[in-house]
Amino acid sequence: MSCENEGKTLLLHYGELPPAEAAAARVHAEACPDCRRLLAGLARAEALLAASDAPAPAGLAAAALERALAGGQGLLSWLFIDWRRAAAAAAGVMLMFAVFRGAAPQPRAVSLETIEAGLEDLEYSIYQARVDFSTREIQDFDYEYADMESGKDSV
Amino acid sequence: MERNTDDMSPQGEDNNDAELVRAFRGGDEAALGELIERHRDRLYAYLRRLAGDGSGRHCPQSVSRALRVADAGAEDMFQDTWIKVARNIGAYREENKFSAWLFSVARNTAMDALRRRRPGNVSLDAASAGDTMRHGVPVPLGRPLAETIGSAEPGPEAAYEASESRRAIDGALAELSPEQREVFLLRHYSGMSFREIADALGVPIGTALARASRAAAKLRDKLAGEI
Repeated sequence: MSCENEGKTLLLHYGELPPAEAAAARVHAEACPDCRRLLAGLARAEALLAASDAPAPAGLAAAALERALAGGQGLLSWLFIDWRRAAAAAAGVMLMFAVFRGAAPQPRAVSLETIEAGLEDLEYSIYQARVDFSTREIQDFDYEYADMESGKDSV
Repeated sequence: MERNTDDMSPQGEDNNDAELVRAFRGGDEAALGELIERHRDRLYAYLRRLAGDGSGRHCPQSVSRALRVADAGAEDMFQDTWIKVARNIGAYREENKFSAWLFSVARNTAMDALRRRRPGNVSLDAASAGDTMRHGVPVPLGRPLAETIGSAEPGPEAAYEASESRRAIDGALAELSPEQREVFLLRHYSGMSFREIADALGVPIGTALARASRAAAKLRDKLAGEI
């Protein structure tokens, strides 16, 4: 059997009640056996947590910083590092597109083999793009940039 | 860049975090280092509990080994959390507390890691060989004696008491449902309010409070007479 005021007693314990409500909740908690049990349980658990918490090992923060700075390169790195996830997402979008497009005039069945073949093609093209990306020279980017610039001028 | 991040009041800490986040977004990499330092111990302690998640509960003779595996897991989760923070810092909205966002990221990271681990990917047998895998590289579970002598680590008696406390509380936490454990640990370590926890978990605040009160009642029953 539990007290229907337990929610307020919890909020009181964690200092989340406004002062006016806190005073009334405190009076209740002192008189209510269920709420006293609740507070005793919290106090016991918190004491054991505090007694057995350990500080983070030396060097962990520095290692985390180094890895975070190396790994936090945004969407592009996410796509290239986790290309399987990207492939799955793209395949899902393609599948939905195919289903909706086919459903408009007349439903068209998509065989499992077709989907698997499409997935393989997609995985390969992402793999290829990843390889291209890692082996490209800065001149390639310069060339493409110049190409885009000239395209912009002609518009 | 000169920053004033000395205000240690709860409101001041939130403001300091926000200032550090702005600096990091502006390209100041040291600001991320400061954020990591500020949240280091609480975040590590939280992840250590999640990584423990009942380790060794059914295998008392392997408790200390299981706890070492849990600590290694917590270190991985800690680093993965900060990688995700750095990568997704653009998604953090300043009207929310940074610590609430950080612990939500940490929770999700831990859940992913635990899901991968569940089928038995990290076994006590693997630990008995003396090594566990970290980022694909084996690392020793125990630390050489030379590293611990003269360090700031507790002496044998204090270490024994800490390990007994940990065994007791981890055993009791393992008896909670995952939902109860999640709310209780988030409230204890993150400093998030129940409202923020409810928002992060996508449940009404009454549900979060009910889970916490059931957790407290169970913990009291389980811990009665411990130590």
